[in-house]
Amino acid sequence: MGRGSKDLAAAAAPYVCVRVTDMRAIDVSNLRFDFDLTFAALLMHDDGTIYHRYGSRGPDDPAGFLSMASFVQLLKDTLADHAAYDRAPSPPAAAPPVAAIDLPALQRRIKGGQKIECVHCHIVNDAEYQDAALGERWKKDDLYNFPDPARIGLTLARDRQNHVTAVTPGSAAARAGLRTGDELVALGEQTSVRTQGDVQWALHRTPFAATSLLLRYRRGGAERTETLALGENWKRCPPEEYAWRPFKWNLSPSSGFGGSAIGPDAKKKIGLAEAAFAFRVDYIVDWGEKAHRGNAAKAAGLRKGDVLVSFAGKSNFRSVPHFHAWVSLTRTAGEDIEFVVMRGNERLTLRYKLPE
Amino acid sequence: MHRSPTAVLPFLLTLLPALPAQFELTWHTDLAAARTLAAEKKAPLLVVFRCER
Repeated sequence: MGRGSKDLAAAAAPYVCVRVTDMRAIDVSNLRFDFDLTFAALLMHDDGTIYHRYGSRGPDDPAGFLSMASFVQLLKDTLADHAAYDRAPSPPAAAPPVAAIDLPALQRRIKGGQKIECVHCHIVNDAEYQDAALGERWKKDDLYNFPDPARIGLTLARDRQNHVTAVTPGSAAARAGLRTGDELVALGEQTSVRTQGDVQWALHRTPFAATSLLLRYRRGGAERTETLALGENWKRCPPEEYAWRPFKWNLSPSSGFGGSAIGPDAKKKIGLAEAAFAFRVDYIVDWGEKAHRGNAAKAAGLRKGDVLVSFAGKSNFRSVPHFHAWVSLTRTAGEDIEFVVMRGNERLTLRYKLPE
Repeated sequence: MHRSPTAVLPFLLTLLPALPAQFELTWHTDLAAARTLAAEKKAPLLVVFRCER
């Protein structure tokens, strides 16, 4: 047991600690966080007030924004938040509780005979999306959940997550005068910012169409307030930043096939450069309600085992997930697409209308 | 289809298994019961969600 975990145990000791590995009984009307994550923590009051959200990641590294130092510090700092709250509590408005398992989309699956062994966090996202789509409440921009601080031009420290380590020139943060070293205090409806998760929550709760967002920060011991001017489509992120999210599997259009990246030896065998993007088509979606997608790819001539090397003229995908996110976020259903596959040493150009 | 959670394990492994006995941390699994306990103790809650997919 390392020093870090001893520090963590000491910092967590004043808390009532709960570990949740199945969302089925969790009231998702109240306990909201980035359900795409595989690890998240809420620091909260028993009345449902959430002080802070912890758990964020970068596009390439699931643990890229987790650190023992930041988590221990958060546990220590939040004790003051809890004491202050208890002096003037303001419980959240009581919404009717909704256990995740009672979401209509999951109930439909159960009634259809499906056994749901475990309600993973991302399944809540999927179910809420399906219900919203069914009720025609879904808007495409709703997919940009829990925007990264980069959307307003901020990079934050991993170990002190409300500390600014970089400001993107020309961004909303830069225009508001933010600088490296500034310490975020409050953002939008998040009245106390201590984590990147808090920033993402504030951005998540800010409407896509919003044009401004109030920010309070500390510089040299003095607090300042600024208004961030949000640009058009400010929540949208590039596909490479979205690629890690399991939510992308809900999106349309979609290629209708997928697979796994091939290694340097396999590339060499078929005459591809080591740095070239290529993946072997391991599956073609010819089952279930999305079967039309795979059937379109099959009709174009695609076979399992083919190696995809370019799609719609693009061949510099960073990964297979990036390919899928790029297709869904940048292409249009029904668009004429040309894609190139290697079948053995034969190079084939296939064409289809991108399935919805 | 989903990313592996393996990469976050080094962090999680230090967080979730038995912590040093001298601190006697108890990890509850029933959130509703834990909220009642927190109210009795006037303690804040730490709720960790760990997806095991």
